[in-house]
Amino acid sequence: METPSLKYLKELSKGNKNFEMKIFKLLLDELPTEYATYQHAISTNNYYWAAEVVHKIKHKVAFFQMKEALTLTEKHETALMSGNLNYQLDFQEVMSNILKFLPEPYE
Amino acid sequence: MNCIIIDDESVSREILTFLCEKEPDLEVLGSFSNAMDAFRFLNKEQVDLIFLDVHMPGFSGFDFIQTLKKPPHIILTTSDQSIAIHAFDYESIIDFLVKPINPDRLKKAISRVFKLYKKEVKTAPQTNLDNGDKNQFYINIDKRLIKLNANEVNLIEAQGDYALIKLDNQEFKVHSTLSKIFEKLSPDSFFQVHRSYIINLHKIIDIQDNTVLIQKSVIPISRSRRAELMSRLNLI
Repeated sequence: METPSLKYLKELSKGNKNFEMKIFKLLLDELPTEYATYQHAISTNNYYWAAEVVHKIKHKVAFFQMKEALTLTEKHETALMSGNLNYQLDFQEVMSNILKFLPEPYE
Repeated sequence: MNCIIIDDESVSREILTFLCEKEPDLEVLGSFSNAMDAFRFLNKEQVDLIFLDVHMPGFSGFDFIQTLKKPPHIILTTSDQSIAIHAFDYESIIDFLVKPINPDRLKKAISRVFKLYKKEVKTAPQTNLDNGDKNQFYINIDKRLIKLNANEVNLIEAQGDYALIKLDNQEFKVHSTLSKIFEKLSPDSFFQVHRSYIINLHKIIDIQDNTVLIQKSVIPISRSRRAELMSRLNLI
């Protein structure tokens, strides 16, 4: 499984540390919450809602330049929209990878 | 040229705002996480360009465009390239950007819109119609063309090589002479009471001796113009 990369962020910021911190803080704040929302949606069998959340998370996966992970995330989103849980384990692995990458207390 | 950003995803909004603020000819007026807030803003402000996320919960970007009577130029943002085919159904959509946004691709899209914007500004009416309610003109402030409604102008004051256009809560300093500005205004509504002042006749509160009160400003009336000013008023 790929590891998250900050290459895109660095390309955008061109050394602007304030911008980098701002984006990173947003990722730190939002990703764990979004993943928790996804898990809640799955546990309550609300697959449509889960798909909406995966759609939001997908942008962050793309942000980290994880191409294979992005493909798996999109496949899981499509599966959820169709009412099934295909690619769920793959998506969970993607999330685990990204959340491990983010600093504590999110590990 | 100004713009707003509509995207439910905060990282996308921040990235677009950051990149757009680097463009010298583009001013970001605001960013919105939902269509309703953006709609309220558009009802109050003149916006030239919208960066619009296609996929928003409950209300797509295309739905949003259809709610606008006169949409400004639009650049769609999406993670799905296949959306592009639908963009051809909408005249206001000038380009689309695939997320994550490529800065060079963004520049090209902005440049495309800016060319259209410059053409529109060149052909925009610079002179008023005779009906005071419809009078509009454009002023150039810091490479931005700002549209003003003449009926909101209280008075214009000469300041050397510049003129100060005063509205209720705003003032604009333009590099122009009073006579040039006066050519653009309706003589039914505006009158030059003094070599340094043009007033909006509809904004007169009262006249005392050789001064006229326009909102909170006391403006001198030159002796040579007083008689004509009085003849323009609907005196009983």
